[in-house]
Amino acid sequence: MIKRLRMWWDGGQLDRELNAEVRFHIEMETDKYVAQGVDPATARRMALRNFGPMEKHKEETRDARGTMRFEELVQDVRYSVRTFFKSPGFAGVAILTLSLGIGANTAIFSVVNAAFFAPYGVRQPEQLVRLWGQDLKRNQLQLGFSVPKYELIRDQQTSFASFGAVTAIAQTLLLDGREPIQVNGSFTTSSFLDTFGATPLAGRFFRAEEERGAGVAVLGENLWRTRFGADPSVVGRAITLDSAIYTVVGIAPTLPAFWNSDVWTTNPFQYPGVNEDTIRRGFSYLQPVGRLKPGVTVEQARRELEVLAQRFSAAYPANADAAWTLTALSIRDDIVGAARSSLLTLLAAVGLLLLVACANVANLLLVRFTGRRQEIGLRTALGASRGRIVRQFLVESLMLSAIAAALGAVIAYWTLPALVVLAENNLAFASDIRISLPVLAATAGLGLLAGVTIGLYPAMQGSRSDIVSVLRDGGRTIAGALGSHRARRAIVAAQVAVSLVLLIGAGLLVTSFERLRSQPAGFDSTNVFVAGVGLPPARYPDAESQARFWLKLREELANAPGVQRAALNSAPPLNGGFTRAPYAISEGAVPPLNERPLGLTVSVTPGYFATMQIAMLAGRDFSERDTADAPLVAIVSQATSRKLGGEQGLLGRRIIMGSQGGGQVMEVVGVVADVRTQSLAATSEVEFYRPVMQRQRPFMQMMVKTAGDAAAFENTARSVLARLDPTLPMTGVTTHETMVAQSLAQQRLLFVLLSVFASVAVVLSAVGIYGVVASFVGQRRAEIGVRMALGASRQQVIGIVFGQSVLPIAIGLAIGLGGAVLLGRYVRSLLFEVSPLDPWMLAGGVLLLAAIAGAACAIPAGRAARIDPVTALRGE
Amino acid sequence: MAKLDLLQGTLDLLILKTLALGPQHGWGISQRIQQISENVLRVNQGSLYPALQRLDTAGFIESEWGASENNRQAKFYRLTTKGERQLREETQQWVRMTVAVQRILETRA
Repeated sequence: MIKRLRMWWDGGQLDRELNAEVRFHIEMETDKYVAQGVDPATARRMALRNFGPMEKHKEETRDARGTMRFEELVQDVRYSVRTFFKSPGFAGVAILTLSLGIGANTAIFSVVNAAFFAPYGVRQPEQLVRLWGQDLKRNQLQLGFSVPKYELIRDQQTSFASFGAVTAIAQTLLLDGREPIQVNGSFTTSSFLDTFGATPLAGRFFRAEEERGAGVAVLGENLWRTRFGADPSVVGRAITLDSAIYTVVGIAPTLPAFWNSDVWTTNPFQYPGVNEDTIRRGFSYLQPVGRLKPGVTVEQARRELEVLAQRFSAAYPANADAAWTLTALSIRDDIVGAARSSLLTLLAAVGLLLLVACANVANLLLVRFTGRRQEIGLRTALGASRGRIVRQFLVESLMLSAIAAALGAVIAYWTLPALVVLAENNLAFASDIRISLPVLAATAGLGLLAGVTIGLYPAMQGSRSDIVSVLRDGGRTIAGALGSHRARRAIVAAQVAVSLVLLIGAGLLVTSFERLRSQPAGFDSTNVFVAGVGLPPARYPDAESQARFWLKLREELANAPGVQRAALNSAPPLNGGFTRAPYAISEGAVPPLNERPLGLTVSVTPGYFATMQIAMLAGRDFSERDTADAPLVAIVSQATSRKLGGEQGLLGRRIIMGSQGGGQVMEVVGVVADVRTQSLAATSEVEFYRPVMQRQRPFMQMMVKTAGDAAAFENTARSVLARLDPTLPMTGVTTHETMVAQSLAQQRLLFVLLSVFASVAVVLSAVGIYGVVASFVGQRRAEIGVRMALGASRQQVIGIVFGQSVLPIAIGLAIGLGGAVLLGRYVRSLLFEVSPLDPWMLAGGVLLLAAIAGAACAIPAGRAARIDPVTALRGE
Repeated sequence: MAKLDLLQGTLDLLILKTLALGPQHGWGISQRIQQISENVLRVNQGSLYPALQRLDTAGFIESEWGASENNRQAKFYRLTTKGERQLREETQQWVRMTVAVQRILETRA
């Protein structure tokens, strides 16, 4: 091995030696003949003849050395560059085509890499699991933990080396003791940050004795950098959070996705606005995380949790969450979540796109390499081996793909931000999306693969030249081109097949998206301004003070200039953040708390339904008289009324809601139209509205219907809020239309990208078909001329040309159709109200692609029909 | 009598045998093979060098630059111990093979 390396290194030296050795040989041989009386010139000629093809022997000697000469490679590269410059059009088209394919792959790689491999900046993230409660009987997944459940699991589990929980909450931080800003706060167990495997950027995390609250806080990296200038001396300073004083003890790094927070504080066992009784009875707001012990699998943890869930229901049989089962999910699976199938679909799509791009370039190279048969014939005659010629071609294609890979990386770098925007900044792992080293390595690998793939067959074809025939007929022969023509038609078939799969896939997704977007949402988002306000418990300690503030805010907003209607809502439609409460009809035998199902519960102010134009079907809206002291009331959706109340409906009947005191009895005073609250894809089965005056909420969202541009209302909203309470910040300023768009982010990303990929693939295929047919016409000019001279009509000529391409296109369409049908079931989960086997979609894709392919043939066919027999024949 | 082209693979054997007689440069090897075979065997002189390189890489021979008989710089090849062993083995094989071929050819029909 060392010897080989040394030889490679010494390649130049060894070659000089070889040259000297050969020179010596020729001189000796010449001398021999001279000594026999031959004149020197003839003697030298005879010596050379005896030696045979010199370059060939030298090359064989080098080959025997077993290494490829570096100089040879440099030579090949230099030669390739020269050929590129000689035909910049070819090189440009080839590089552009490939770089589109590679660029798309690189961009998707960086997304996939972020989703599946981002290190999250924490210690061994693969050991982290998130625990969920689930009520399989009522099909409710992803439920949080109650405090009693958390405590029981924490004390009895054996799967985890450490265990913690967190709950997120909007909080108000006073900067410099003056300017209020809204922050994403988290109440955590003292163990949470350490369990997560984070390392403090400064200071420390929490100590066990601080778990029940000790006036200490840890700042999140982002807030620390943006608001505290990344100053490490912040540690030890006091901050005012929700009107209480905390001492900063450390800085935490950014955690992945929804685990991140601006400010961490302890004591997660109390929740503002929720009384102790509700918390003990199963209010499930904690998000637990465990770090698996080494060697323990997620599956083993899951099995243990099943046992622990039974122990919990035995210990707290009356609690609202007693009957739920437990499950565990790796942190990564939890974060990637529903995006998984979209990502895999995109990955497959870019792979197919690259395939089409490679096919196109391979096609170009095939024409090009076979077109250089004369040159190759010459070089073979001069003693270049076939291997050497193949190598030369491969170097050319590899250089093309290398440049394309570099350009592709640049394209990906440019398009990535757009991609994140396209996802409406709504991908949980968006912050990890970047062009990292592994991504670049994958791109380089792809470039290499593409280079070999596109170059190998054309190189073999191109180098297989019969010297004599090539040199004799001046390279005009088409006999040898026949094989390559067959290959090109096969390539066209493959391109058409792959393009059809992409086209049908894109069609399905576009249709899904359109159907989803045109769903009757039940509300009108037009010109609705949205922003959040949180009330610090220190200054708004009870339900009454909070209710008073909310009603006042609503009134002031409604009276502000440019406002048509205003209301507040604890969880605007399609924005997440809903709560669910156990419910039952308060008639006859009421089931115990732990057997009551959970229903979506939203707190609103009076006027909410009018603001969002949700139809009031029966009964009345809430009014300011529905105070905490007044009889409790609720409004239900139409679906809820039908489902629970049957024929009669729920209006005027009594229901039991929530877990406080075993549930509160309230009267249904209104029925409103169904609203797609959680997702545009489906209406909620059960949805309750309650007046905010009777259901304490410290955090609400303003929803203001403005006369003009909703986003322009921000300043007015700020001044209204400042008039009421200058210490309250406004957060999450947006419009409801944006919220709706964000709820469709993943679908939008998927359909836009797939449409782009499919369009590029179709264009590339059209170019490929055009190229094949055009070169066919070019090669057969004379033949066509003869036919025309013998009386063939233009139609017949066009028929011949089309006949050439109909078969490969038809085969491609058939294969593509089969592929689309086979692959359909993998995208079924991504589709909405359209079947992957939808005949219209399949037929539409086939017809569209056939039409485009036909158009690509028509241009060269038209040219063939206009061939003038006289010139064509003379040209030969 | 027409000259015979060398059978594939026999060139290596002949080179080793030639070098067993003493160190020699490439041209000298080609001349000696022709002389000893009384001009029956013709070495395509150029193909000698790939063979020499092969044998060198395999460690059967080694080379060194030195002065030739007419005082020019030439690369001299010498048999190594490994090469001597190889020569013995290949010679035995060759003999066994030729004897076998001979027997077949002498069989009466």
